[in-house]
Amino acid sequence: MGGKRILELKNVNKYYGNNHVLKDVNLIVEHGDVWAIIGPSGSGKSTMLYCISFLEPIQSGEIFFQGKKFSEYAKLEIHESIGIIFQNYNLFPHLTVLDNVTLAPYKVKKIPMNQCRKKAVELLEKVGLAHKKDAFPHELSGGQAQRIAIARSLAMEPKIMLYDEVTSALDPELVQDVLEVIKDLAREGITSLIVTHEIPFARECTDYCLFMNNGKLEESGLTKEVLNNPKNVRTKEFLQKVL
Amino acid sequence: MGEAVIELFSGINLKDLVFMLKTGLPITIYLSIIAITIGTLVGFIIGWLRTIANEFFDSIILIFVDIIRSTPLIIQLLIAYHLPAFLGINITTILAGSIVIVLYFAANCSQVVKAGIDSVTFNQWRAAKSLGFSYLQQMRYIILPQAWRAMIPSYTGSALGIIKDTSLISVIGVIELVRSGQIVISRTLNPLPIWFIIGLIYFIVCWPLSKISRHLEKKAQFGKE
Amino acid sequence: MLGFRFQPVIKNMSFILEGVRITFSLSVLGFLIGSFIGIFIAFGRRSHTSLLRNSSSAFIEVVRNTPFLVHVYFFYFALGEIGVNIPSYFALLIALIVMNAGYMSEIIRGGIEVIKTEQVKSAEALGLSPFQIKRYIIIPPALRVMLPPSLNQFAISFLSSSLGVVIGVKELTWRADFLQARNFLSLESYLVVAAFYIIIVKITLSISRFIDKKVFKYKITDI
Repeated sequence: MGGKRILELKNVNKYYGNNHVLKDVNLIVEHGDVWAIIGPSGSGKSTMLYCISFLEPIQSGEIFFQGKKFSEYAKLEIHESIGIIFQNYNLFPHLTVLDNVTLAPYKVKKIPMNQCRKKAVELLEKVGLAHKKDAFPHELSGGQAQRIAIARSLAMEPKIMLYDEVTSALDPELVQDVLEVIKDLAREGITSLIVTHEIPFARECTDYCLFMNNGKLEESGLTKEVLNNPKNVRTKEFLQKVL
Repeated sequence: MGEAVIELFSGINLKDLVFMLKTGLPITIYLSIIAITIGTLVGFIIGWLRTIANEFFDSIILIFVDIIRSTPLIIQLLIAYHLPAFLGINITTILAGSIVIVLYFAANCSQVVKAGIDSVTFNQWRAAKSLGFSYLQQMRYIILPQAWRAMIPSYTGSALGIIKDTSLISVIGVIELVRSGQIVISRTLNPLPIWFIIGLIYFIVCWPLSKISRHLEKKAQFGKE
Repeated sequence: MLGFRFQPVIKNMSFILEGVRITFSLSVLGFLIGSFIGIFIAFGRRSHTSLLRNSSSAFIEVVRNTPFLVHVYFFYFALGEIGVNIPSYFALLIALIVMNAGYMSEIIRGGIEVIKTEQVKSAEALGLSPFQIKRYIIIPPALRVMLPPSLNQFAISFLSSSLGVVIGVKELTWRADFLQARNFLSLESYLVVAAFYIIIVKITLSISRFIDKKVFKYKITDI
């Protein structure tokens, strides 16, 4: 375990209108943890990630980042420190790959452009796509676009990376490249929360796992234990269906 | 057949043409430029406001925009002609007419702008927000560059339309291209060739602009998925 | 209220309604005949014969780059030249037909270009008859693409008919002008007439939205 608590959710509840989508969610994430988040569709996994990345508000409970409440931070600090990758990558279609990766550090963090470019090229090399830096998003395959989305988020040097079913929209042969990148990043020690359907990946690359169902966090613990000996009956049902 | 055409154009001399071009055309161009510059600015603000306003204010703005767009421009100009006297204000006809034309174009622009901004998917907003961009930065670097590509076809169509619509101000007595032609007709009593020439002058002004707008449309599509 | 006196205008409601009727019939006729001609121009635009292609394009460009007001005056005096006695109604009608033909041809061309040859070929390969292909594969997507802009064009045509007032066509705007010259209530007359235009345009656009929602709701959008 990494030690210090980097993220904590305490009795978090969220509603979309009258829909109770997150019910009393409690979670402790320590620095360097790699979590897999599994569960059926509509169970609130994505919603939880949006709340952690401050894209959606919560109605009750508290989220703590590095020991302090969210409300004690400026919104910008959270966005800079927590990166999120979406299922449909959402690259900016009117900008080249390089511009996609440099825009945020340049405009939000006000880092000089030549430094941004240098960092961007390093990150693109890390995800294996430096040769595509002048291409436009519509010229890329899904897997390539997703890896560039990861590079774009990494350019902001976040402390936590959130992945929202990032391989679900990809053709099978492209999935592996993206998972490799996520695996390498996790190994480098960046705290990661990965919503995924890829159970073999979860087994191989994550330390901890949590199961969400119907807005409730039903079970959490070491990945080996949750996946091999689930204690919760609903976890068992889900895993039986999926495996 | 050639003689018939020449006879048709009889009675018109170069002085008439010069009169129309020197007296009428500049006013038409002037009105068009005023309408497009001020109208685009006002229209942009209104369209943008509609994207951030709550439902109540949006409905209010929409009512005004709808009324302006659903009433014939000629009636709005006729109202503008009589309204100042009714209100006791003393303004020139051309000013009253210009205000109507600017508002008319602004109403159209507001529709184009709102549709353009709305066409950018919510996912783009979300991605931009997650990277820490402020609202203004989101609009400036992510949303508007994509929105304006959607706006170009409708906008250039509207702009072309308003240049032609300035002709209606002739009905309330302002001397622009059409009216100057009518003045010539009152002297030569030979309307048909003058109307042909008026149409020709408009065509010479408008056709290059419509070619440019088609070129812009094509450019806007390339490079975006 | 505010010094407005609508009563004298409302008294002449049947006079105004007659204007509504004339405006409506002019717009509908102009739109339908114009659209019919527009079909030929749309195909002309795509023709392999350069003469057809160029003359169709030229027609469209002339119509779209000259003001409607100029068309109205032009046909008025042109018809007068040929010897038609009181050319007002027909001049406006012809101007409306020409305008609708010019704009509808582009809308129709948009509808034609939506149809993909692969879809027609697949339908053929599945054994569908030419009639069935037209009915199920060609017409529905084309119609879906053409309907909103067509109704929008009708609304524009309806509003443009107001220009008939300058050549004396006794349509709706002319009625307002006539009334205000006699009762000196210019604002009230124009406002009442404007209300009619607004209502009819709104109904047209509502029909467009309604059809788009209900009729095409179950149609599968492009794959």
